[in-house]
Amino acid sequence: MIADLGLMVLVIAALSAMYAFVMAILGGTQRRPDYIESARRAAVAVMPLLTLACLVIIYANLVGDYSIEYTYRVSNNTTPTFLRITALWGGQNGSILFWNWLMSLYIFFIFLRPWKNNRDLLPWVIAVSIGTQAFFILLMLFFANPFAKLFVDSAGNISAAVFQPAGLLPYTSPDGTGLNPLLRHPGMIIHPPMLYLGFVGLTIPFAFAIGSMLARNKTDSWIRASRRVTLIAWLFLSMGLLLGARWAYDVLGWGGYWGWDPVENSALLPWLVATAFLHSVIIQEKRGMFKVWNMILIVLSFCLMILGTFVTRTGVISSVHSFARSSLGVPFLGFTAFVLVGSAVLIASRWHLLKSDNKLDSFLSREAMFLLNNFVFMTLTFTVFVGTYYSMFSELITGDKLTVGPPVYNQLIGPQVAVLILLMGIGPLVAWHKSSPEALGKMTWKPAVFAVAVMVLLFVTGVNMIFVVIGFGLVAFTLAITLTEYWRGMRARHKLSGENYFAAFTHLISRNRRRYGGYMIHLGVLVMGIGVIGSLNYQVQTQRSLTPGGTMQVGDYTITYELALTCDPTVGISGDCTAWYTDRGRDIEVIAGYLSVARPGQPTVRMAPYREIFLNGTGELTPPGVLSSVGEDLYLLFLGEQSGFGTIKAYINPLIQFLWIGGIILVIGTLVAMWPSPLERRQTVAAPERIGTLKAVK
Amino acid sequence: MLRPIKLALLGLWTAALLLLIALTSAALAQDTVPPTPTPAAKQPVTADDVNHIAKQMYCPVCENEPLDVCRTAACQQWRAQIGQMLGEGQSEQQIKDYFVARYGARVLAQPPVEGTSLLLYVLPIGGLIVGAVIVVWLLRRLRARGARADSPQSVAVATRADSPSKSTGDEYTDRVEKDLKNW
Amino acid sequence: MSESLPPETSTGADSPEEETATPQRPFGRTIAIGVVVVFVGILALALFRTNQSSPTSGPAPDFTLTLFDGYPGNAGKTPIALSGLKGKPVVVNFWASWCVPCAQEAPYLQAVYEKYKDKVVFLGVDWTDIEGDARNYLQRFGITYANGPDLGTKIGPRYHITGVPETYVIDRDGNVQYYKPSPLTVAELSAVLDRLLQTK
Repeated sequence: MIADLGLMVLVIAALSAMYAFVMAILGGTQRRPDYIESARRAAVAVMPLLTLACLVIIYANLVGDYSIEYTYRVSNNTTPTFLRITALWGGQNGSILFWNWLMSLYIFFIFLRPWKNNRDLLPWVIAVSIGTQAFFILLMLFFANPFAKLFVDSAGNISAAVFQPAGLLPYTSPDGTGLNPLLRHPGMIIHPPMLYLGFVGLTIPFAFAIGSMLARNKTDSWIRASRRVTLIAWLFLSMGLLLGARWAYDVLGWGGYWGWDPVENSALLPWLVATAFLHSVIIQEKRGMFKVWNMILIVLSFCLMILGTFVTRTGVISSVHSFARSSLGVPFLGFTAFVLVGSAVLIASRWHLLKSDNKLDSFLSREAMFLLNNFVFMTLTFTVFVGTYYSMFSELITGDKLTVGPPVYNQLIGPQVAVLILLMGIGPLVAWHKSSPEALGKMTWKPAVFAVAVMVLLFVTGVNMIFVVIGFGLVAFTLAITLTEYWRGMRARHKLSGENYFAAFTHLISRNRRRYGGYMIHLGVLVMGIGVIGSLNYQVQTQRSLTPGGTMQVGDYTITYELALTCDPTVGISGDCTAWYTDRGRDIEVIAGYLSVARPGQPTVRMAPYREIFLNGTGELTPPGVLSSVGEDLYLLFLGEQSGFGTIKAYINPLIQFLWIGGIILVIGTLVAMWPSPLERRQTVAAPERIGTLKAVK
Repeated sequence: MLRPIKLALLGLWTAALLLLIALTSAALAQDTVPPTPTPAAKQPVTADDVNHIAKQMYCPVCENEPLDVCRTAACQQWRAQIGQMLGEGQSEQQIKDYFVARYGARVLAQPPVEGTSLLLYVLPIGGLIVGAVIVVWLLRRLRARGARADSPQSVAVATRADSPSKSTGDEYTDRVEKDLKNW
Repeated sequence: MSESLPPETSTGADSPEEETATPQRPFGRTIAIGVVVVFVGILALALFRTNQSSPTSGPAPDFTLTLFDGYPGNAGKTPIALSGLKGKPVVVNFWASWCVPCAQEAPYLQAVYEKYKDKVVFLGVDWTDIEGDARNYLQRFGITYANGPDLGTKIGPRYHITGVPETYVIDRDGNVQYYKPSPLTVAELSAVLDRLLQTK
């Protein structure tokens, strides 16, 4: 019943999106503002419709309507309420609906109020964004319909379809299969929404870019109009990546946080290019240079996003993240091909329109620094791209599948990131047009001395991996420069306006949000870099099988194995096991290892890492017990018990806190950078007027 | 005619570039993992010895999970096999070769640097070199254009935008002032 | 709503040089588009390959199996090529010692083999398995038909297997006539073999 309502709503949404697409194009080509206005309204109407569709799924989950296939697959009678709601994105079909809904949110807010400016772009921005939306709604409708129902034949076989097949009767299952146990953890719940918000958000700047080219607009109004949305999308993408890493560390239990899995890389690739874009537009803004390049960057970012979504959902790339194979491969391939080839052709055909008068006054200029910055981001992107798609490529050519694992990436990427960190330090110090080496030297010699001191200190305290020393040296160098930037700014303000340092600091940031928010993002990246260098190069791991009472020594820690507790729901939960099942479904077996950890001068801590075995046969998890301190994490896994021996795996991850702290700093920095200032707040989000002069100084 | 400071900076950049190249070519050295001390055949084989090798392998049964982490029965058997071979005194390389021969090159986390998998390294490094050449070419071309377009006006603008610093405090005061005005 | 504003003036990019610039190297752009098209083609191939499913009819993909020592079965001398077995029906069974459902059907396969060993060739393909554990498995179920490891994990991908156990029954002309991606029963397999043996 409600499935029919949901289906109807989806169909109307699809029709509205397609209508908006057609009317936007007609309005743009025939210059009919009334068509465009109609298109705008139809585009805005999609969000409420999809919201309703999502609510239907959530409602079906909440009441346990197992006549709907999706509800049957992602929940059951014992699923807690909260998880019934988040199950909306727990399976392929629902997650596409969720994806569509998030995309419609962006479209809703962009087009809600009629545009005052950029009206030449409007029809095209509508067309591209609602066209993408229409594709995904149709894909969902025909190939991954969340409102498919269950049917049963005379032999008792259950199948699913959107419309009742001949000879089959509707079927309501008494219970569902339950949400994939992997998806019941908080980190896993929040990670897809963040990522999706980042991915679908890239549609908007892409639409603006394409619109600018289609409208033959030579200005950079497309950048200004979409800048904030790009930053919002980038923020969500960053958070999605960070949360994914955190969840992998906290829950999956393999001691690390990034596996260079192809699907992880598919999310990283658009992020890298979007980061390059966010930097590169500054040159266009200040000097009017590299317009083609910026166009290419944002289009590439969107293309990589679509490509990544394609390979993930169709299973072309094998990964732990892969969805089950489905039939949406071919239409999705068609769309991907259209986007990739179409964008390339459009940019090629508008090349002369976009060409800007690029010239450099000096190699030692901020323009040159940005050019180098773009270059390194591109080589980084290319490296990750080759690694990600190599196994697919080699399998087609040689028939042999190959695995490209972390060692390959770590070797290739390290040096490039090192150069990036160096640029992060020197770039902001170099002036536009031309900088004198003396001026640069004056601003860098003290941080350089600091860096060398750090390197020497590390070396004499026993850090003898040369790459590590260099890495920390570069991070120290750029950290010093970035922090000094704040200090100098504060001091200048203090001198100018006489305010105290604290006020100077806050005003400095609030009056120059882009710059100082940007510096904060850099700080975040540097702090994350400390965490990465430490945990990547100095991770210690060891595994022992101990009898109860036996101890093992890792670093400073003495770990004593006390006992193992096996809780099998099929035979009943009682005694100590009840504590393990307050929030846990009865389709999971738990084997917990109780350990005590002693450290000189610290109280003994009791920990219980455990194994979760999914009784439906889909696998298992080993969530760790983690003892965190400022300098490192002690990370303990309990791998099971056999013949009285408990197997414990222990990792020490040095400096890992810096990774998470750096991530938080990065997020705060982004919020600072994008927060509208009182001046801007008076403009509409969609099309802020030009503020001050931003044409190139010639 | 290059001033000493310019020469020094040029040297610094060359050094940085050479360092980058050196680091990149060091990337071709496969073993960033410190080698296990080869256990004598008589020493008991520890789980750590097995994991050290298993960490560098992937089991085809589980997608993209390293062998030391994978919990399936197949992976446990594979780890037991590695342990047995270590107990017989076989070296890490021998063990890896054995697994590659029986199960294909896909079991290694790092494909051997030979044959088609050379492309895996050649492409990114080649891309880096090609890109570097393009960037240098572009920089020089744009610089030449800039020199051609150098009119007294643009030079004046350039010098204005980059006021020679008398003291660091003044320069930043200038910048902050300019930023505040541009706001 | 207001009519569109006049088109905004462009940034100072319209220098005289630019206006008269010849279309510099559309060649480079064509190459770039070509690369994108080629990449999309590769994606299409990869998708095609991913979507290929196990052969349920038509010619069975050929392969060569090197047998375990001591498991000659009735297939002939090792290494055995599938194409060389035309004239007799062939049962190809993918299994592994770590696979629990495989153990379920193992005695059934042996029983059917013993009944049909003069007329049907049985081949067991051991997939990503350790030889020691495989031999234990074969001994445990008293299996005597031909078995060999999938060296290099090449045969499994040819049949696009999605796991183990999978069984393919191939007729005298080398075409797949029956496919089951789960444990078989004696009755099922016997029925299929009877049917195949009746023809010709």
